[in-house]
Amino acid sequence: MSAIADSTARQVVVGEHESLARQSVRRFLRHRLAIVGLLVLTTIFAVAILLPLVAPLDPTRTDYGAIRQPPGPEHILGADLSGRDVWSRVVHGTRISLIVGFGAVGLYIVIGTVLGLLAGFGGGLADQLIMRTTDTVLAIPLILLCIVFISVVGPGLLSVIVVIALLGWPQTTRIVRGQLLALREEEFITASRVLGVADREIVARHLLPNIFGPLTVVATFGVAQAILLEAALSFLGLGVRPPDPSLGEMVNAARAPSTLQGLPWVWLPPGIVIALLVLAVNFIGDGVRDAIDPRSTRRA
Amino acid sequence: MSAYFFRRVLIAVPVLLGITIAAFSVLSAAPGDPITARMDPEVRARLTQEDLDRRRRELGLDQPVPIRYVRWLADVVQGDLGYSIVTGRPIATEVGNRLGASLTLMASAALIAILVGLPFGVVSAVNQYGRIDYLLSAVTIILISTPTFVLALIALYVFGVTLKVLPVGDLFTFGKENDVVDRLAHLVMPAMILGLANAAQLMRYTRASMLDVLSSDYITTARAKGLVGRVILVRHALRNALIPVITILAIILPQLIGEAVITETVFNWPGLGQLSVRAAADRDPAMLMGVILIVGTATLVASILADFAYSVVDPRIRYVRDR
Repeated sequence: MSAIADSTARQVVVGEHESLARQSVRRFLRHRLAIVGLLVLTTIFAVAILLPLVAPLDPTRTDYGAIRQPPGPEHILGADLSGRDVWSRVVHGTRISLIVGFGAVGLYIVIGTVLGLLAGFGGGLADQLIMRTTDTVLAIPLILLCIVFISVVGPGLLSVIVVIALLGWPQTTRIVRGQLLALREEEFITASRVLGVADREIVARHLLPNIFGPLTVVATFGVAQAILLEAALSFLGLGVRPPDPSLGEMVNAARAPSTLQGLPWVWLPPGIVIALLVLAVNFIGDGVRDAIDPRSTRRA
Repeated sequence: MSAYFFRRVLIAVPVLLGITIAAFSVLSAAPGDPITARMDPEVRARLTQEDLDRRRRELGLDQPVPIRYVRWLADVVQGDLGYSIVTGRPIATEVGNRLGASLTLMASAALIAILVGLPFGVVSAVNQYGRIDYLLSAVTIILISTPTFVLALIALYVFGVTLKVLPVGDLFTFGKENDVVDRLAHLVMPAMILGLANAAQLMRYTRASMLDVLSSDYITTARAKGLVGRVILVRHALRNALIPVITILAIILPQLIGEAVITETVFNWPGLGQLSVRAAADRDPAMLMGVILIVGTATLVASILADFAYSVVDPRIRYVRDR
């Protein structure tokens, strides 16, 4: 009896979920700017990931004959103060940006979800502890916390990813816990409980599909934020370190007035690429949000 | 009313303690020995292990982290933030010297963000889907997506080194410490960059909030009564639209403080942000603790003030929260 009821409930939920997903995709495709963002991001992905595989671009090779060379046939975006090819550095720097953006956000979504589930299910002391930690982390500018961590572990690509992953989770935790608490009040959850469905099962079948939407939105905007954060830290000399190329570190060269004025091709292209990348991801985020929550359509 | 704020302050204290405990634990895991790190190798060679141990005991470094934290806290309460291991100067002085510069920059930037963000947000909402709306939205999204330091460098390139109309950095021209005009000229670019970057966010939220209000029933009623558009806008819509915007202000403030770190670095503005970057590069944990303490306090005070403004604007909140 209960097995029948359970399987019927499952079918209903699964069926509804799929049509909802299809609806969301349709709404997303109607969002013109999101499509533009997706195209731009795909192009950037293709160039940054695939190009180094087919065309050998060495971002660290110094060519003394090309020092301060303006853009030309030999170096399409010119060369920097050490004679390194700016185009190669931009391509490899973009790669690093993408790795940090997606890597760090992927990690903190997992951390945040686990902590949110712990807080929501654990209740009591665990809940208090996790949620007060969340408030604390959110109370202070993220970049300052990153600076504190980096001063201990030292700069570098891995440090940046780990630091952003370790500090970025609070928003995810809030959403997961909030959804969990809201769902707990729902009648179909009570019904599942009465039918003897395990907590694990409820999480997998009812909670995760419900938080998938909001988490996608958080993750998309999170990627944009992480890319900006990496660029800022590298710009400050506390992120990815030379000779590894990073877009933020490349822009840092412009802090020397002679480079700022005389060699705009060294710092302007990486700056533009960061902006373009973040813009594309933000457009996609807008599209995803509108697709998932039709009420928010064309609002902010 | 006052009971509510008393409670808010009481909640803020553990948060601030949490921040300092977290930062202290992380920073005490820093590699390197604070005693030998900056020591002249010749001096170091003359000292025996015993000397070093004694020195460590004197500074309390042989104690476990929780005890060191409590000592640090006890010193802080008495106004002693310790000494920088790099410069050897008291941290309270270093931080105090820079607080004014940071506050000036942040306050000007916040003012610019509000003065630009609010009116343009309203204009954008009133002309929804019109040409002005699209133009403003495009500018907004570009400002949000471009890193602050890139905006700052472009401004420096245009106004600082090409047109040469504004100074490229520092607080004032050397030798003109008391020249107000000179100081203002130095403030213009950093404050504008920081302000505009945050105005963009504020504008997005103001527009959304205004659109929400404009589509509500009582605005339709006001229109049906035959009220003039301007009266509806100012007296009915704007007031209500501002309520959520104040909450957003509280969210934007920590962000503004964070971005000030970058702005200060680009414009060589001698504030706390620049100090924190230098302290991190120098691995000066005591100095970082000082900055965290001050910035943490400032952020919490700002959010409580925003809450206060919130309850002043909206009497309903005051009533509900008072019970």
